[in-house]
Amino acid sequence: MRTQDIQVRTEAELYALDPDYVTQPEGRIPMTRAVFWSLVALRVYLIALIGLVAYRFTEYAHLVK
Amino acid sequence: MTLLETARHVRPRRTSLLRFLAIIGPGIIVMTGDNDVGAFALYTSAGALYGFNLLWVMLPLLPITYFAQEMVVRLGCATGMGHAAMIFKRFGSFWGWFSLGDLMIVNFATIVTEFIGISAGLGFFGVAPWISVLLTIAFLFAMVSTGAYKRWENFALALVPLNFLVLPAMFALKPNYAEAASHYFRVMLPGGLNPDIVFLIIGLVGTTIAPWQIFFQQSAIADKKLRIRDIPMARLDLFFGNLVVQLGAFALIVLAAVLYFGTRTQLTEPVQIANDLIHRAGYSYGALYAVALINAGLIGGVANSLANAWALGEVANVPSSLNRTFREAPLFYVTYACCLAGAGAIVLIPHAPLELITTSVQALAAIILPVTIVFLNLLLNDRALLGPVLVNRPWQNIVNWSMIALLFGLSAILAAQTIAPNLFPKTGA
Repeated sequence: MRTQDIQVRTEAELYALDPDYVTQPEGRIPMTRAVFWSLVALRVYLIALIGLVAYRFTEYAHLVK
Repeated sequence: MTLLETARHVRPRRTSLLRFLAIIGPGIIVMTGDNDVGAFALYTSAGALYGFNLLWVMLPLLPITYFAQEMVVRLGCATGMGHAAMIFKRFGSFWGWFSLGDLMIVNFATIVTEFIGISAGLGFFGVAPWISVLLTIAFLFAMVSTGAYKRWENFALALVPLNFLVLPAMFALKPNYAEAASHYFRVMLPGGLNPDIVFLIIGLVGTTIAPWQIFFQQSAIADKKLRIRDIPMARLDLFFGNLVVQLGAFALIVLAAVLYFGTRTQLTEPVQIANDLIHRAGYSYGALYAVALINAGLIGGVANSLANAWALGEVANVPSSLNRTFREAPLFYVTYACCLAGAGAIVLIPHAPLELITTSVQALAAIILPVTIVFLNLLLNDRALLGPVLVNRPWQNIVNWSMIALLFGLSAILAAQTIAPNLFPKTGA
């Protein structure tokens, strides 16, 4: 079923309708402000952490050895 | 007609239990897989080093894990698709490959830890490491080679109760339950906010809620063909799974706290607790602990290998299902087999840094987790995908973004500690 065919307001109504899977919309997710800033934050986060984490792992051994 | 199909077609009121029994599986298996060998190592390290003092970390993890995995339930039941394919389609190939790469690397490292635990557990009973590895690969491959999702699921569900074999050992040590329970509500940082405790807390978070769980559960839901109508029962399945995790974590932390806290004992081997239990409680308790450790490795191993196999198959857009035979889904089974064989081979390499792999993999998972959760939350806000009823409500977004902020915060503390080790002064316990 298509997402726009879901014409119910509550989960109970939806379950009563017993629809099959919804079909995936075509294309990328709409670039809303939340999506845009989330992706920006993720890029910054990854760049900042990858190097630091690799370095930190080498120091952790003393807790188990 | 399968039990699931039968349960869908009979009257709801009379068949609640039947429906639940038909739907139970993905939630409880994913959460039991959560208490894997790495979790054994982290929980017992937390107990041995800090006693009951870090039990409070587990309390917020109960709702956090539930909320994260509940989103997976909605997404999986509504779309019938795996998580990896969905990230590719909705966020493009960069994030798709990034998520898949992360998943496969962390999962592979996790599978190595499962083999370490299984070898140690079987070693307790005198089985040589190479025999342990071969037996494990054979067992885990046999689990998935039945050509039917349901048979695999029944196999995995049969292993779930073995997770509780750590309980008799905990009971035998007669811990102070009231004191332990009180620590759930007492936030303490023994020794202050130092790098070791931050790393351990991040590890606890990483072992309780990990990226593989999100990919695994959504793919399992899709492979089981759960539908929108099954969401309430799938939530219940997940809830019981959460209780399994919490009970297991509690038992392991308390067990290690009673055995080692204050003795400055370093836990250097996964099976050390089993050996020490022989002296403190008797051989049978040590043996039960070893069996629980082996079982944890088996469930964790099958779940992580399957998460990789499902995800790669979804992204490659080729059949990837436990309902297919090897001929119908070769990439799926080859990926699964390679994960097992590769991890098994690493365990047999002399002088491989196995302890470091065991402990660091949980923290690596925790650091990658915010990325996975962000994508999950964005997908759950995708109205074009899920429609008005199944998308996140405002209160769910508040909970989820708070959770994401917490996870990012923990990672930021770790980063800050790495740059400036003296940033947070040590305080008394």
